[in-house]
Amino acid sequence: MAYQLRCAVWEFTLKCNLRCSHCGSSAGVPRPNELTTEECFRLCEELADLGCEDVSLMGGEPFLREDWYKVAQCINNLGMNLNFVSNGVILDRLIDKIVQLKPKVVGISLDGMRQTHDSIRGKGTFDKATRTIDLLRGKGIQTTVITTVSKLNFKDLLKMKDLLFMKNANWQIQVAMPFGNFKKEQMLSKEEFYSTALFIAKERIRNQFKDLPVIGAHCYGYYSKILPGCKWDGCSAGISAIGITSDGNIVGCLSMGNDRFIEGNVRDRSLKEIWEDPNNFSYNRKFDKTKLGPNCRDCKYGVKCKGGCNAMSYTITNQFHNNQYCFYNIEKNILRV
Amino acid sequence: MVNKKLQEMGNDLNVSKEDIQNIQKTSFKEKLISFFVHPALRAVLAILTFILGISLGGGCINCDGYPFAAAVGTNIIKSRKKSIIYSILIPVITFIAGYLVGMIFFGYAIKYNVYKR
Repeated sequence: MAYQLRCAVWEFTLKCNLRCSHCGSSAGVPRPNELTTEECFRLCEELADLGCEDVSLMGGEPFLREDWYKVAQCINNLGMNLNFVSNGVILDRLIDKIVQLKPKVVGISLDGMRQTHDSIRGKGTFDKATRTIDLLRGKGIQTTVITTVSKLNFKDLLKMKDLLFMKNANWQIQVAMPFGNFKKEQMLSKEEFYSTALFIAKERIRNQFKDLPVIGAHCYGYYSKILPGCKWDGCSAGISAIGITSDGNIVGCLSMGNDRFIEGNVRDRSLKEIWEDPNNFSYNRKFDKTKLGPNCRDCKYGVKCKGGCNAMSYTITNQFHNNQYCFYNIEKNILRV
Repeated sequence: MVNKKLQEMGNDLNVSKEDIQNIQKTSFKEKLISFFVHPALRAVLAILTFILGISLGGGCINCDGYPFAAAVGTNIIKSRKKSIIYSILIPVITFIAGYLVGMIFFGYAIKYNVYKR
């Protein structure tokens, strides 16, 4: 069966100017032997040849690489949609260059109000991030505020809503997963997870979509009896999406813990060979019902849903297709509806 | 119905009982649309295209396939070009309308990437 690559999330560098307490990548120091500029250009061409539509440059902090503009321009010139994900700390001096590139969207991480955000990311980072959001919106760049939710900050969502309503940005809420710097004890409980889902649903209904589009990321789902719009037809890692590490390793998803599921390296094989290798991404491409973990095995949606987000599943249970953070599961076993 | 546990979870982030009831209503509407409206739209498409084919005369008694089959039985050969144009236009309009109706609601969880409008 042929799989069409649609989206690549690229850890452009692991170098970072922050040391966030919840960072899944444990970013800070660049990986040894990160891709050169020429290698990045070649990778961009390979992505375009495979028909990739969206490339998101993240990190670490992508704007710390000196060649960020050239590589971003290459992505644009090859006709792919360009997105950035950034902590927003150094962007104020780069805004005009970003505007020239006309990215499809810029994601800026914001993990709470000032005290909470600064306690996670560092003193002064809240003010810099919010200023960056305002600057980007002032230039007409579509901006998505990305909030990674854990026990450290989930109560801040209420105040953040009021703050973001005034900023005309999108809001993407996602769950912090226990890998890298982030400790399992700080992860949301299932009840807290469901509370945030109720919050997202309420805000989507209450607000005009144009005023504050709020969305739960791929970790929010599935097949709820109460919450609208929770269909899910399986993890897209290796099906339509890939993750790329800064040293050229190809994985299905950067959130799965990069080193464990490396499918190949673009320095050794072409991206096309890695993508088309029938033995790669087998956890998704060779999925069948027997691969469902104990949390999902007896679920009537198991085959369709394929056990939800595999990153959540693996980081919590060390198994794929076994995501216990699932609306259907919570409603059945905790809410008893 | 909003059970006590569900209300407690809502209280954590100021989601009131009324908010939860609204959420449930929205979810119910979405399911209605999914189960009834989409298939109904497709049925309307089929009927409209058939009627159009009959009323325009089709212009092609011996053509293969639908919707030109709607013209079978008429002996009057009229504008084949018009029949083709309308037979394409109506499915396109219906498809767009159905898609727009679906977009009002939550939709799928985003797969992997940064959300954009």
